[in-house]
Amino acid sequence: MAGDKGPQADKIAAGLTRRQLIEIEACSRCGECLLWCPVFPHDPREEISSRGKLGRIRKLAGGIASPSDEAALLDGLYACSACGQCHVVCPIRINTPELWEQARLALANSGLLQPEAQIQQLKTIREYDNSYGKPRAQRGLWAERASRAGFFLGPVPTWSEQQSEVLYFAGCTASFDETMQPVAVQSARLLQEAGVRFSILGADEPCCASKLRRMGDNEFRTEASRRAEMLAGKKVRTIVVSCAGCFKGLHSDYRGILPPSVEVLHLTEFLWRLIREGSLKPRHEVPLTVTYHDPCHLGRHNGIYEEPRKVLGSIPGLHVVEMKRSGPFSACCGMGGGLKLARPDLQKKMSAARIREAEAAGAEAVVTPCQTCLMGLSAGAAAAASSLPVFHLNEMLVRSVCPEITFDTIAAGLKSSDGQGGRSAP
Amino acid sequence: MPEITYYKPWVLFWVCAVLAHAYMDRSLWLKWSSWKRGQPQSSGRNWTFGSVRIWLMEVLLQRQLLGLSFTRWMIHLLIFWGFLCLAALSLFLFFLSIAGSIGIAGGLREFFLRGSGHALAKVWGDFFGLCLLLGLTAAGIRRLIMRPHQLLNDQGDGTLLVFLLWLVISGFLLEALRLGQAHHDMARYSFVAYSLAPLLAIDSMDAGQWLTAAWVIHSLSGIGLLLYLPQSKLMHSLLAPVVIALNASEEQGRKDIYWPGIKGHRPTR
Repeated sequence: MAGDKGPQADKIAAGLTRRQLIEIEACSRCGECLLWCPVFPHDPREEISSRGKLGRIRKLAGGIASPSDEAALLDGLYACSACGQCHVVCPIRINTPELWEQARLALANSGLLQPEAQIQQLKTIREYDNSYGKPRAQRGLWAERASRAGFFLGPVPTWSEQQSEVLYFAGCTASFDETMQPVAVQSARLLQEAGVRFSILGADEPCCASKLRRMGDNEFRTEASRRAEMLAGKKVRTIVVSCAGCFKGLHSDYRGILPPSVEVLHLTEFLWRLIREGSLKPRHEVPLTVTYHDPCHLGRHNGIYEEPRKVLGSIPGLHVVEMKRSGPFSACCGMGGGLKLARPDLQKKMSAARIREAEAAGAEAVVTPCQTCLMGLSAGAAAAASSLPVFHLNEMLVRSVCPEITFDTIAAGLKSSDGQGGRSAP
Repeated sequence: MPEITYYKPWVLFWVCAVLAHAYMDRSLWLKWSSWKRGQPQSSGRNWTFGSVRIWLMEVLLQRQLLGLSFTRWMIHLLIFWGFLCLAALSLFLFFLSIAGSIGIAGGLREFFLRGSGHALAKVWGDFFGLCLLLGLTAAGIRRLIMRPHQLLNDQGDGTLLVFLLWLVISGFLLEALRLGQAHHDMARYSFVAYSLAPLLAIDSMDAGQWLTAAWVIHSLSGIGLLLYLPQSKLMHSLLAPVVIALNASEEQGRKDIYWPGIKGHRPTR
């Protein structure tokens, strides 16, 4: 009886967990998800909402879906940043972000594939081990070039040069995208300022492969296991990650894959630890009123709301105001879950909406600890014709600790150095 | 206390009840089989004393919904508790009656069916019936008149609402008809039906037929619920408590519980 729903339906059901199949049926269709969804205001169709997606997954897994249901589900499922806002407000607390990712995988395995742009991105990641399609050898160039430009207090060693317990994991965006490389440079410099003995993996740093999970690629677990084995073999105690996406990957998606003895921390958690211990001392005044944008992967998905705010709170002169939606209710900028690839139009509108929220809060700038959100919100500010600057959290701390290496200074310095790089949008 | 006697077609009732129950069981079993196609997943958290608190706050008191909207919370709680307590009363009286017939009920049967416990059962039934009626009426007003932006109004939603309303109204009408024929002290404890009784005054010669008809209609409507449950969104009333408890318990484990923070936020539209 269990296998009587048709081969495709059975394949989709087999791709989900039993609990997820029950969760789909437990939805009371109250529509709370639709009220809070950051995508829905920009594309108000039922299939965009969680309720619409749940109903269609139920039909597909039950073998009663029409071709239009299939099309609507694919449309809705990929026009979603899997931000998890619907999970937070759901009266039944259906774990939607996990469900969407698992459903993407289950659908792909049943022959209902991802949008073309995502398929290309997945191919690039598998082929190049980064989302930019660049040779792996270029991955550590940011450190070499920054070192040559004199942005560091001393050398930033690779793990083969110095086997340290703390590893800084820069991630693809801060490694390859030259507009975001200052994030990696500032991160490393802040660790140096605090006297942390750390190393980087340089050209050996792998892509965390979490995008495979986000977009429903079957290879994720295999790829993650391979990377976890490599990281575990290095006997690293703490991995510090500056990218919220990589953090979710290494911290949450690798749970059960990476040995529990390896501590994965987001940079903001580590920085707050250093500030609290007194190793990192914000000294200079930063007279600015900023608002903090919670990255979904950090906040809703991993419960990190306080540490970044504490870091900002430790900076003299810096005043933080909250947006109308913050913390677990923070509106997504649209950069996650592959939405930017599938529906760039929506992503831009979402970021613009977030910028308008920040303006309404009376902030002079938006601060976020995620380079992907930084990219999205910067584009959103342009789309909203807003002059509100968007900063990485590092920038605020750098202005207080080592103001000589601001984001713009590093960007200009790296550009004028002889390295390669350049941006090719994923 | 005078007994009101009228014909109750028990054979018809039991045949229908057994068939409907069998159908419901089969439908639920098919659903279970369908869910078993998925991958096994552990809850990720052992049951502890904290789980009891989660059941109380999240499932029974629905605090997440309270954070979102007081009106919706009140409507939901009226329906949820009204339905739950009426079902509990029916089951209690059913098992008491069986226990009594096989001689293991002791004095309980007399106490609840004929003694002063009867007053408690009457107040209980009418109070929670009234809760259910108020909740369903408010849900109907919200769904059909206020029509908030997020609500979907398809056939299934309307059918379920009308069905549940019919069930509770037919119950009150049956009780009112019954009280109209028996003027005893206990009647006033059925305070809703007691107020309706004068409006339904019928000739005592025809009363038996009317009571039988009302009994058949109410009983078969109740049995109809068994048939309708697995096919309707009423399924969420069975599944949601389990899902809420599991997810809420894991969220506390992750220290990511969002109450009372949710009260300070509203969608920016």
